[in-house]
Amino acid sequence: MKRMIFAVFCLTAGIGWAQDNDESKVEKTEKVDLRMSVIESIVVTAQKAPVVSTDEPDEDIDAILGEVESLENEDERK
Amino acid sequence: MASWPFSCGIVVLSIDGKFQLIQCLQATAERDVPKSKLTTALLILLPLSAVAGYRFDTPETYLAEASALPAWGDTLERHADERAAIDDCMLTEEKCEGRLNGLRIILQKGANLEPDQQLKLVNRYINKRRYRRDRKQMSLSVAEGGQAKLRNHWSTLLDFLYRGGDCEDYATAKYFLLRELGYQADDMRVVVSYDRSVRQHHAVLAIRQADDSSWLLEIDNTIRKSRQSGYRFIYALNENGIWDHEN
Repeated sequence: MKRMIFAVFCLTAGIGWAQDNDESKVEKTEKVDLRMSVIESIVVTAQKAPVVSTDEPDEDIDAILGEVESLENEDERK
Repeated sequence: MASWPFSCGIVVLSIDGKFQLIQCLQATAERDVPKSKLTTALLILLPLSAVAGYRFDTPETYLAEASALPAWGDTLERHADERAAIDDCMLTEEKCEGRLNGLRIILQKGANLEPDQQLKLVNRYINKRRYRRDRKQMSLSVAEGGQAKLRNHWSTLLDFLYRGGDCEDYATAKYFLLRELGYQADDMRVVVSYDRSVRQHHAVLAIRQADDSSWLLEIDNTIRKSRQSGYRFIYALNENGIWDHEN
């Protein structure tokens, strides 16, 4: 009899635990969906400021960018 | 003991953000400090922590996989399709057309630079592109019920090189270009934040550093290395996921 009661108790507790787990999963999914819709509605509006380089000059980088620029200017002339 | 709020304040201002603030206050709470004092300290220090630098290792911020934001998932797919053209151009110069010629030089010569110089090169190269505000108009979508909603438009690298874009496009173009140069996705995130100085939402690319701090690649050519960003970070994304920094 004791064993029977213990088995019924374990079964009930197990079902309860599984249900709680399902509910928390659903809750979590709903929370993520809600947050995703908020994130999706945020529109980035900041404008680009005029570029005045304050970083240190670098000859290697200047040379590469110069090469790219002259190539692009050449392409545009064509 | 009297100096603990001051110590936590120094931690917030000099190291970084909410994460350190919470740790500092937790450590303090373990001592016998009245709760009223802790609350006061939180009220004073939390706004300060909100403008601290970006962190990659803040716990419990992962929200969802990248495809959960359809516009971003779509951009990742389109970029994956366009990579074939980039690969062809890198293998055979004759297959390079238009902007791909410049991109080829950046990738070839950038590969020989130090990591710091690579960041500088990519930042300056992308920032030279045309600024276009009207990209969002193209992404106007009619939501259920007929209500029009404005959405962010995320450009692919080639899309951006040919047509330009606005600040989130600059950030994503830098992300894709640095990926081509060998940077790991896990070390980069496009971070959408609220810029308190202009009261607008802004997007920048964050690069993880060895000490878990981060550098922010700005659209005015600066690389923000300081612990104080002046931004309130809202969310971040890369090809591996989306991170929520507000909840």
